[in-house]
This record gives sequence, C-alpha cells and structure tokens, in this order.
Amino acid sequence: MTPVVLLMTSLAGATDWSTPVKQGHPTRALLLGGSGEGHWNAGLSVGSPWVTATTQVGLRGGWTPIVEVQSASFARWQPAVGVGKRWIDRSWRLTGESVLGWTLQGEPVPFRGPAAELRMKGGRAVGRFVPYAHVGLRSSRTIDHTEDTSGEVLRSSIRWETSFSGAVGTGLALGDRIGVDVGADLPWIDVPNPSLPGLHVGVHGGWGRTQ
Amino acid sequence: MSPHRRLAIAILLSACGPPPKGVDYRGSRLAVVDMHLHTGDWDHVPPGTQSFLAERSPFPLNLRPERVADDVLTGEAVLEELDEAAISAALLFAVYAPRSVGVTTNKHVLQARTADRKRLWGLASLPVDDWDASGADALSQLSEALEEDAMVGIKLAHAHMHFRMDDPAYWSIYEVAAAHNVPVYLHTGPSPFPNTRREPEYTDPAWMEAAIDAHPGVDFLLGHMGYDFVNHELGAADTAIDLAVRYDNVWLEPSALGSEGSDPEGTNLPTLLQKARAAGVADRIVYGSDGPQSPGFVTDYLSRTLLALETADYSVDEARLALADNASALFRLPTFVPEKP
Repeated sequence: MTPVVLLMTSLAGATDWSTPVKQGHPTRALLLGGSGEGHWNAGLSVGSPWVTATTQVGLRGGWTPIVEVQSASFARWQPAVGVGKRWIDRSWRLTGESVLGWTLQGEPVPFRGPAAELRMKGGRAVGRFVPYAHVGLRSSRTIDHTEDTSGEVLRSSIRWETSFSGAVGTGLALGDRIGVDVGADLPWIDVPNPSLPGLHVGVHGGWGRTQ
Repeated sequence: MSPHRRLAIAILLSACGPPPKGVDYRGSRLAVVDMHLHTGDWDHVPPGTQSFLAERSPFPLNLRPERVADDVLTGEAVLEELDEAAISAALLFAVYAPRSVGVTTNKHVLQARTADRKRLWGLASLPVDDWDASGADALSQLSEALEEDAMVGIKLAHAHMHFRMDDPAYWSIYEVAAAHNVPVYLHTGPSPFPNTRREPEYTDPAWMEAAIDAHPGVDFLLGHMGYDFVNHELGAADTAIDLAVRYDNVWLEPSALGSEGSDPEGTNLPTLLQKARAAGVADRIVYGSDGPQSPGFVTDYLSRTLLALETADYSVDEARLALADNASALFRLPTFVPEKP
C-alpha cells in the first residue's frame, strides 16, 4: 500500500461526523450549505478565474443567511446577500440557496445591473473528506446605451444575461473549526457563449455555537 | 560525457524542441510560408472593435482580452505559433485603420520581426484619412518604409480604411509599389468588424479591375478571395478568380475563410480551391492564415488547408507553389526547404 493510500485511509477514518461539533463544521457548512444553529462560518476560495469570500450564520430550522462576494479575474464582481435552507441533512446534505445581488463588469464588455441566483449544494462527508457538488442558475440584467461621438445617448436597451454556475471538489477538515477544499469551477457565463472551467483552493473557518 | 548520456540529452532536446519545419502532402515533404499574420497591441484597437473581439472570446478571456492579445501578438509569440505549426516563415501586416480594426505601424512591424529576421518579414501600409491634405506625406512614409529590406510589400484594406477601390486618387499607392517593385495585398470581401465599409465599391474585387488593368507591372494579391465574412458566403470569390484568369498580375489568398468560425463544415476552402483549379489558376494561390487570432489557430488553419488542397485534388507541385514557393517568388523571399522529420 502506498504512503498516499495509507494517509488517505487514516484521514478517512479519523473523524466522527455525527458529533455536534462536526455537524457544524465550517467545511461542511460552506461546501454543503447550511450552518449549524448559532454557528458563524467564513470562507475564502482563491483560484483562476474565481475568487470568492463568504460569510454565513446558522439559524433555527436550517435557515442560513449568506453574504458573499465573487470575482472573476478581478474584472467581474458579483456581490450578493441571500439565504440558504438545508433540505436534507442526514449522511447526505442537500441545501438550497437563493441570493440577490449585482453583476459589475467593466470594459470592453460592460455589464452593470441586478442579479438573482438559485443554487443547490450537496454532498456527503466521508471521514475528514467532504466531496461536494454545486449547481446554480443566475440571471442578470443591464441597460446598454448607444452613444454618438459626443457622448450623447442615442438609445438604450435592456439586455439579460443567463448563466449557470457549478463546481465539484472535495473539502478536508483539518480541525474542529478549520478546513480546506480544492475544486473545479464549471460555470457557463452568458449562455450560449462558451466558458472555460477554472480551479480553486479554499479555506474555511467557524466560530460560535457548534450544534 | 558518456555516449549514453549524450544520447539521452539529444533525445530529451529533440522531444522538447519544435517539430521540423514542413508538412507532409501526398507523400512529399513541403515547406510552408504563412503570408498573412498580424502583430500589434491592444491599445491601438478602437473601443468598438475591442468589444467586438472580447464578445467573441470565451469567459473568462473576454474579461481581460488585452492579456490574451498581448500574449499572441508579439513577434516572439508569432514565432511560437510558427514553430508549433512547423511553418518556415511568415509576413506580418502593418495596418492603418483607426476607425475599424486599429493601427499597427510600420515601425511596430519592423520591431516585431526582429524576433527572427530570417523567418519574419513585413508588409508596409499607410494612413489614407484626409488624403487630400496628408496623402503626399503618407506616400513618402510608405516609400521610406519600403526602403527597409524587411518590408516586402504593401498591405491595403479598402473596407477597413474607408476608401473606394476604384478611386484613382489613391492609385499613387500602386505607383509606389511599382517604384519599389513590391506586390500589393488587398483585403477583399465584406468584413464583420465594426465601422467597416461593406458596399461593393470597398469590398468587391470587381471594383479593383481598373487599377489592376492600369498597373500591369504591379502584382495584386486578392486577400480572402472576396469571401463574405458577414453572411458567411462565397461572396465575390468568382470575381476574384475571374480576375486572376484574365490578369497575370493577380494572385489569390484564401486566408480566414476556411477557419473553424467561418467554415464549421469545412466546405469553403475546398470549394474555392477547386474553383481556382478548374479556372486554371491553381498556380496563383498564396497561402495565408490571418492568424494568430488565438493560440493554436495557425496550426489549425494549416491543417484545414492541407485537407482542402487534398479534397480539391491539388498536385504536389501545385501545393508546393501555394504553400511556400509562390510567396517566396512574389515577395522575393528565400526559397524555403522543408526539414526532415
């Protein structure tokens, strides 16, 4: 057995996710959605092209308010607030989230306008590992202006952008209140224009009550 | 150093280096010259065209298209594309079209070709805006650029530069070409870029006939063979071929029209090559890609062209002329010999 397999085996058998402290683990909360009641979680994932910062807190009944900022290549910004709700929370967890925010993109393809996104996060903790998958549907609206050479607006028109978000990867709990993940981002921005996949690594932390 | 170690290093170097220059065609090894490549920088492209180009790039490349452009438009980047495609040499275009596709100065082309003076040459151009007042100066600067050995021809694009093909006021450009004994490359056919002129007077090579007829000592290379990039149709291709049939100083360059974007089914290029062959002007084809566009485009266009030559039943000798020898003769470049694999 190779050292890598030995390490993976030992890590996989090292965590009991049924304990309250592990139920509210930040890696599980951020990757599978839905923080434990009274538990604050924050995460930062850095990759190419996406960088994401998220903070969320668990409320009674599996509800979880979310504040997040996403950026692609630091040229497209997607700040948003929303709420998540754990739908299934047994050995598998499935969470629905909806957020409202803004899409901000500069030249040469400017886009500035409100956005709404619905998404699902799901997966199952296995030992210290948290394999996960995310899918989402995002709609944004902007107003295009056609100007003459003097800058006077000749006409304006509304433009909608529909995008799909998606990610797969796995998290790894490093301790009771900290974890990391690595994953692939699979977005399809402004359908039907093509999009290239991306990669990210993330770190997650938590504080507050852990049940 | 032991022989084994030397052998190992040689194998390693050969595995890491570019492929030998040349392509295989019907059992023969042929050299390739790409006579249509672009250099330049993003900042000299008008905002409307920057948006046009960005919108056609996949996410997230569309967010920072200047990075992609700067990565593929330097002389060094062009050389990498040539190496990957096993192409021996290429011509870089100067462009003066500030209202449509932007500006790449003659000076920029001369700088870019220093990446490898034995493989890169340039086509000079000139600004034609405000021609009555500035034409003489522009002609003088063009003539000065053509004094450079590296500049082996003139590049014009009536549609991008906004002047009519049949306007004799601009025929002094062809007189400069005659004086320097260099050919003139002309963009023909409607162009998809913003702020280009799409009327036949600017795009249809039929409107060039008077100038071609009046300058028998100047070789005219009809770029894109009149292909309609707006409607993705063959456009004025028959006219371009007809001009080549009737005038010995007319050559045909089928760049870009056979690309994945312009010709997803792969029918344009073989159709036009077949038409040229049927008309008896297969020996007047000069290969160009209109790259680099994006990494890998130069290689891809060459592959598609080889397939089209085969489909159009070009002989090895005809393919040799089209891929390299016509460019060498027309632009007075060295004769390139393929390398053994």
